[in-house]
Amino acid sequence: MKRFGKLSIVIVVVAVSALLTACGNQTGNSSTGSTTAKESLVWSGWAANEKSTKPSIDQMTSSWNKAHPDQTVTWQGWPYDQTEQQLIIRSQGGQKLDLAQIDMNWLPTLASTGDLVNLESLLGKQWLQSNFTQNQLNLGQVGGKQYGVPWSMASIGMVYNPTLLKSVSVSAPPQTTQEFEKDLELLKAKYPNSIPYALSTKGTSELASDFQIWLWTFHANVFDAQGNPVINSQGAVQALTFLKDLKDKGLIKMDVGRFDARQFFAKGDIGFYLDAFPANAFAQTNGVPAKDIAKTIQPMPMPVLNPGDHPQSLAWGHLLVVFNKSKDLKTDAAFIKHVLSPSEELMYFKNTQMPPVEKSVVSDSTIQGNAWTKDWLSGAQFAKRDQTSAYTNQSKLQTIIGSAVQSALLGQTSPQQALNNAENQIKSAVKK
Amino acid sequence: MDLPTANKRALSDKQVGVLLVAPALIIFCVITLYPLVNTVLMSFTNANLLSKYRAFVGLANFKSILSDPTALQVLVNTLIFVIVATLVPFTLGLIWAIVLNEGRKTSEFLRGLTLVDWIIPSTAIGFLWSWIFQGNYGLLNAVLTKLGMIHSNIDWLGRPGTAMIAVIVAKTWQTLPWFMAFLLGGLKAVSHEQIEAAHLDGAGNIRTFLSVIMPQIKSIVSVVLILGFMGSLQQFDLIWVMTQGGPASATTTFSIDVYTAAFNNYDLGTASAIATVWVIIDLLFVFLYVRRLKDDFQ
Amino acid sequence: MFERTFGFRVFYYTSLILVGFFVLFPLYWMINTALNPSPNVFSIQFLPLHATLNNFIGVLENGSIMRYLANSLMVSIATSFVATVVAAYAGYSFSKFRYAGRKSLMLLIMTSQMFPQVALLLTLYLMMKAFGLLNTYLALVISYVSFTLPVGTWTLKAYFDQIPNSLIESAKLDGAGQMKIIHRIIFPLAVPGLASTAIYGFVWSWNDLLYSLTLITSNSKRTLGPGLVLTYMGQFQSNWNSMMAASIVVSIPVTVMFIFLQRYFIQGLTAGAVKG
Repeated sequence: MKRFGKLSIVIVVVAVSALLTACGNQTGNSSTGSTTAKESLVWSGWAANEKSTKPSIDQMTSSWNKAHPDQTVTWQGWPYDQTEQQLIIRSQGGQKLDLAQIDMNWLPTLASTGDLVNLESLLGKQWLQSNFTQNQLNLGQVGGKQYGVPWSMASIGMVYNPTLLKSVSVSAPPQTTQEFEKDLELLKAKYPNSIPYALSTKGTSELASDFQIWLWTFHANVFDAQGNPVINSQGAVQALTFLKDLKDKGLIKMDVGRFDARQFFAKGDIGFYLDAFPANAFAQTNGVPAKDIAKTIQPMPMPVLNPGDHPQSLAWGHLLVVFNKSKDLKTDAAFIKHVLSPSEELMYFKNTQMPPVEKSVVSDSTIQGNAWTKDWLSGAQFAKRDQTSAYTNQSKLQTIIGSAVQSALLGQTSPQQALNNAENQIKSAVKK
Repeated sequence: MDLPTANKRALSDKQVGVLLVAPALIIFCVITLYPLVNTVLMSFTNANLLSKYRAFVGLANFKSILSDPTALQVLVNTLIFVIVATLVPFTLGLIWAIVLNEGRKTSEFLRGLTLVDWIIPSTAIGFLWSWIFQGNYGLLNAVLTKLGMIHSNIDWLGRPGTAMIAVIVAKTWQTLPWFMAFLLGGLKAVSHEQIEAAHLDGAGNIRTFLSVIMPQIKSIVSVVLILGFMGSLQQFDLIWVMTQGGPASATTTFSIDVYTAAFNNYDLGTASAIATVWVIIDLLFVFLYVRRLKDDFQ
Repeated sequence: MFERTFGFRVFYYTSLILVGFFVLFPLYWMINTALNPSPNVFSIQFLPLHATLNNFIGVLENGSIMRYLANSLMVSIATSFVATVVAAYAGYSFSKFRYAGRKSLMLLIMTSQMFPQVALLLTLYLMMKAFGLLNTYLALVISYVSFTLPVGTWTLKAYFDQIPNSLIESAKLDGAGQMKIIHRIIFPLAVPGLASTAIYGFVWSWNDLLYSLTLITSNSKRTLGPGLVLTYMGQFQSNWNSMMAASIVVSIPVTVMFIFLQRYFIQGLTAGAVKG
């Protein structure tokens, strides 16, 4: 009995301390406490979970909450690569979810759950058309229904470090893939521990989207115009062989993700990488002082295979969507209009380089006069949508493509074999 | 107050026995048996996480996973992981148990410290080893470079072979203490007289270990190995945190594969089919396990 | 146990140094990283020469991590309590009662832990959704209890087998009812077994990532495993100093508890196995 007594004391002590921590948290916690704010709308996404965009999101919600104390908004977010899954699990589970920031590539998948609201009726056709171009609106549509409203839109393109290039006596960014490879070799020779080109090799979905741009560069596609998978075409094999060659020469590295790339780039360890429009803002959050930004990071048109080809880039954008389980659609709509109001959009752009979309904001002098924007746009005229994004099982397609590219880069299979496998798997995945 | 007691008395021993086992039985049926059966049934449908509707598709899911070139790789990965990530920590755990059993003053302290490895949350262990194996500025690369053993950094987690080694090392570190604790208990219970007798007969250490100690801890060894194999088969968290099954599926085991199919590709039908194949393979182990248990349950 | 021959000494000291290093150095490394100031991530610091507690303070001030910790403690304690009680009843029933189907039932419950948990999860997710139990602690606790049951029941059965039937008989003669016998006589005699089952259940739920990642969807209810993953994935993936500090902080409560219970754990763990 004596032993039993001692044991129960320990259990009681632990239980009490657990309770205390739990209670202590209830009062001390403000940012995540969705239980305490029952009335409030839940806004989801990843923007407030990243350093560069968090202050702006906080500002947007707090300015709203100040003006609407009865209809407050709280943020509930996840890291970018968990967001799509968490949104689906959450909405399928019937949890509270009102509006969300999504990557435009996820729209078909999310729309197929039947949980999204057609925003045309909610926001008004008039309002949509007066604020956005038809092209922009198209990016938020699935089957003719306006499930998403554009928030930030631009492209994923290539950036380079001009100072680093100058140090190997290269004064202008490479224009062709040949020049590109030559510059990478120069960088490698001078800085053996650097990553000359940081292809996103870690996560399969990031790799698939980088590879999409390379496919286009080599005149290849994932699907042809009829929607048949053609990822094992000659051009595609050529693209993958090109990358495999870079890998074998140590010009690209495995186990590098987009976040690694941003960090190493800011440190001056990377010559080139592909990133979204706010790449300069990312460099700044990773420690590059504002005055050195122009010297450290510059956008450039994607190298082309043959002189005269269009430089490729990938359309990139964030949409806002509303879930039909939301109890207060009117407030959702009002909040969306708040986030998309010119003043908030301009603030967002100034603080984070997130590119605004509304006509009135785009024409604003702050944006028109911005050097980064101008340079970026010159390389982004031919931005196209990721070809996998038309499918509801986009994430599966990306896993297939990313794994195939990885296995070829690692030399487990030949580029041809890897892409043949991918083509087979894609075929059966889209048939379902 | 007499009535309830009387009622209880009225229950026969048999009934009390069944009542006592009822909660466990209910939990078992609801949380294990039904889900298992339902998952097998779901493998014949095109169920997915995105819609409520599902249709019978026959063997289509099985056909598609069997034609998937990574299916064989996943099987091989799983076998390698289960065997190596169980036998290595077992062996090291046994050695460590023998060392700690030698009764030095510090043994008790070391034993406690060793068990700390086991109670650190898996996620944290995954972080720790990702950091040690980090390909660009991790500890292992720094140490090997300082020792002059490598000239340029190795992407431990970015290469198929080394990524598998890395997750096995992490798993070894996590479960070694658990094996040690079991085996140490076994060693402590070994009869000292028999060992003395063996020594008096002139048996060396190795012979004593093989002919006196081993037979006495044999049953504990088979138990920990079975439990260990099962633990490795179920392993999800360490691999997920360290590699998410990559690169190029090199560390994708069954658990990771099923999870990815269901919660990344939202394809419950395929996920269930993979799980069903796994259950079938598992039945072999179940058979061995049941044979082992039968001896116990006399 | 072994004669101290030269060969044994070589084996002893090599193992002590090599295995000891493998077991302990990563712990040191965790602490060292947590003590070093953040910007040092790119250059390895072998010693905490510029030790700072800032990383720890950062973690303690991070409301979310403390909340995950509290949630994990609650779920794990609940699991460990429920699992121990259910396993003890079942173990006692298997040990001291005889009824039809007892043996098959025992085998069935024991084999249940062979089945892939991720396979069960596919249906459990849909089930919890149908019952509105997604995003509740209950969903986690009953799942964890079911995973703890096989080993728990088996350990405790072995324990109860060692208790002589005569003890129960004489208690019955004294007029004690079944419930009284179980709670007042049997359980106190099986404390190490109960403790080891409790610890087993605790550690199980403490470690889980798979179930809590899918069954819990709100930050306020999230437990440690997914909480840490979601905090340190993506952008903060290379914030190793803070990550290690968080890992240490969340390990402390359990370590303290474990120091008290270690003895029971080892006794309980081995009792079942040694006997079999």
